[in-house]
Amino acid sequence: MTPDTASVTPDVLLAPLDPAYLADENPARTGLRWSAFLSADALPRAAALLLEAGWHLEDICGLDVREGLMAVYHFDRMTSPGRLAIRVLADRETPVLPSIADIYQGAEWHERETADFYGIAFTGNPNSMPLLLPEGMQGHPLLKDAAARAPLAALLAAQGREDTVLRKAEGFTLLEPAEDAKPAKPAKAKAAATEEGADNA
Amino acid sequence: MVFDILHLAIILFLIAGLAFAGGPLILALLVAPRARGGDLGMSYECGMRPHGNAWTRFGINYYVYALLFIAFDVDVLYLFPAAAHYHTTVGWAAFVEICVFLFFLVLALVYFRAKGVFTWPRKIAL
Amino acid sequence: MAAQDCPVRPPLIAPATGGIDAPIVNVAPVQKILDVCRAMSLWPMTFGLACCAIEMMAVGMARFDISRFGAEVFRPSPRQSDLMIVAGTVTRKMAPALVRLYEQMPAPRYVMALGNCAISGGPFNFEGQYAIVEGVDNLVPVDVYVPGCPPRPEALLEGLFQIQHKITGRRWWPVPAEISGSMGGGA
Repeated sequence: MTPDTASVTPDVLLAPLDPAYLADENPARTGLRWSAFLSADALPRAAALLLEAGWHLEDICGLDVREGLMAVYHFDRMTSPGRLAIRVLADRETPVLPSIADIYQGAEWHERETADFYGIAFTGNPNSMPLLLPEGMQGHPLLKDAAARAPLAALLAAQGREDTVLRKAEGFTLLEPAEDAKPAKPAKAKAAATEEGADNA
Repeated sequence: MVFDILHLAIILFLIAGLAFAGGPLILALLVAPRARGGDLGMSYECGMRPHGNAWTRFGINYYVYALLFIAFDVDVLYLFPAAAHYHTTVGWAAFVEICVFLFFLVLALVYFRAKGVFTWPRKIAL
Repeated sequence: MAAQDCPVRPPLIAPATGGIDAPIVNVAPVQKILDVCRAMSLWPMTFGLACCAIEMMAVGMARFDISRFGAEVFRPSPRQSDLMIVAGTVTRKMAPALVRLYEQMPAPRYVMALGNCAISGGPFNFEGQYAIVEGVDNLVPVDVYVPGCPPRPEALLEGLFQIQHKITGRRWWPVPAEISGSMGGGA
């Protein structure tokens, strides 16, 4: 890993993959320095590019949002820290994503855990045994029922993120706030209201 | 051969040894409750079903411990009767015999010291 | 039979089966003497699963020394132990292993449920719980319940005394004196 690859930022690194969305984030608000939305086919190539550039995998987790099942991959670097979140959307009826366990071997366990709790099938994962839940358990515990599912935009807005969009593809509507969206965290809206009330008083 | 008190003592000693070893086993068989059923008979593997072969290859370097055991422990066993009778001997013959016996055991010690078994390096070269 | 832990779909919580046969020579005075001998040298099997395991380790160390009361030898193997201290949260994934280990212990065997998770699922006992066994007495017969989250090491020792009481019929160690309210010298 040469010094120049060490300082390559993800917007340059992932540009050849044509991500649907790439943004600079405010680490003080979200802990992320960059975030990106990728399609499922671009994911293994992105993982290979990141490994070559010296990024390590921190986490793979899942989200059950109104638009589908989302897998979030967190990457970071030891040499120049700054966390990158890659979000990949999977269809709810047949949630299938490619596995990156051949590139990052540690991803095997994270993918098994995500499969346990959300039912996302990672094709190419060498081990199909559930990681945390017992064999024979029916269902996936962290799936939400339709009433409790929030749109992705509302979930991310509730974090208070302030991002600067670096690239955005045509027709990318995942982060548009839906018309009928209520805030994902009503407590935050109440806190904002009391703040306004205090200001007015 | 006359059956005298020494022979009786040896036989009693044998019986006492067997009783010392076997007595608690028989006692447990008689007075302890027995568990049965379930997975009692299964081989213990930390609560999991045993998988894989029980006959595995282990490092041959453990032979040094067997040889050291012989050098230190079994020679003491043989020296006990030799020491008990030593005061009844005359001349240098017995002394030379014991020295020859000890010489071979010291050879084993020298061999292991050369191997570095008595120090604590990162890896013992065998 | 303990629930299988491979491809067959098993019942998720399968309690321990099997039983204990009475001894062949069941003479009461002999059994009483043996009971005292057993109670004074219970060998625990460590089943430290979660935070209560730290308290169990503390009990094995010098300050709260459990070896004063005979239970010095913590065996990792069920074959050599008579007291299984379930210290921590039992997940459904761990349940078959726990049952198997209990069945592999020779008689006489005793179980101490240490901490709220082993008693009833503790803080994880709520509607919609999907992964925790709510109380280890769903799996194995428990002799003594030691409440706390986690219980203090002295509480574990008291649980040991209660098991000794259960085995021999009397308590062998003094009851701790009442500690008066203030520690003296202001808050």
